[in-house]
Amino acid sequence: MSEGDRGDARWIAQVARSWSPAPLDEAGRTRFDARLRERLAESRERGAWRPRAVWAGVAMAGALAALVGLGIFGGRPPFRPPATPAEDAARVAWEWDLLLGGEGSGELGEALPDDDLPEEWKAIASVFLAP
Amino acid sequence: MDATGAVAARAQQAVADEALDTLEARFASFVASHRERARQLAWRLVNGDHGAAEDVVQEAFLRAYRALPHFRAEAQLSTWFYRILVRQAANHRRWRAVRERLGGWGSPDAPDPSAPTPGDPALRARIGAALEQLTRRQREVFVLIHLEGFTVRETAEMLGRPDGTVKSHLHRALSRLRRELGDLREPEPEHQEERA
Repeated sequence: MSEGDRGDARWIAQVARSWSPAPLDEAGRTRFDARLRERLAESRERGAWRPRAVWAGVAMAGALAALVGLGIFGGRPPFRPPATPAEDAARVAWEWDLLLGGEGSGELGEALPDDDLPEEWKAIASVFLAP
Repeated sequence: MDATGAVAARAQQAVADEALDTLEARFASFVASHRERARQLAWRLVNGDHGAAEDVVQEAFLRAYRALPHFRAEAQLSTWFYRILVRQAANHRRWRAVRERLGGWGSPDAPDPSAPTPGDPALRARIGAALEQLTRRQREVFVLIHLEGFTVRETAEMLGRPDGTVKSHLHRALSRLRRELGDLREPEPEHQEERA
């Protein structure tokens, strides 16, 4: 054994002695064993219920799969025919109403006649929106 | 049920009872043989926390009980048992780290005042702090080989790692601990005599 190894052996032995819990006394061993027996009994009880819980889980998963397969619960949304241009326009108008506070009346979705605009706005509209 | 059926059922029950008695006896003997060493190993791995060490050991024994029928040789079972114990200790440390990160959520481990630890508390704190600086694998390898006296082969088997990896972890652990704790020396024999 080299000098370095002997040096290591000394401090390691000191660590081993100092870094150690007190051994259990008779009362400690009895308490430990009693708690272990208690946990074993609990574990056995859980073990008795486990097969039933597994079967219940399998049954629930099967029922859920059946519902999904039938389209009752989740799955694909029902088929809807594509919207016509008129329906699209109405939907856009309704969304604008909702967004701007028209409460779905559709009045804000309709094109405003230029005559109703103030003069300055008409000038701006003529610059930007002129055909 | 006819008389023959009843006799057969009773015989079957007797065999089952005997098997259970044998299992219980084997388990009791296993617990008695490994209780103290397992407790010490767990305590060393969870940084000197008595309550956590006991939880870790109990959980490992519960798993050993369930696995007992699958092991014929005690040696195989004990290697497997210590492997489970080391893993349980690592899980405990991981959860403790999560709890600490979440700002003390859950029940933090508190030192058990009913479990006094012998020796110098300052030295123990110093050793605990030095071991905490190691990585998980370095700590496990150092504790298993140098403090618990397992061989490199047994340790490699417990940790599910090749021997070379275990030796490499051990080398790094020793280099680091030598810097932190290398000044510790056991009292020389003559000094011990003087004290006595």
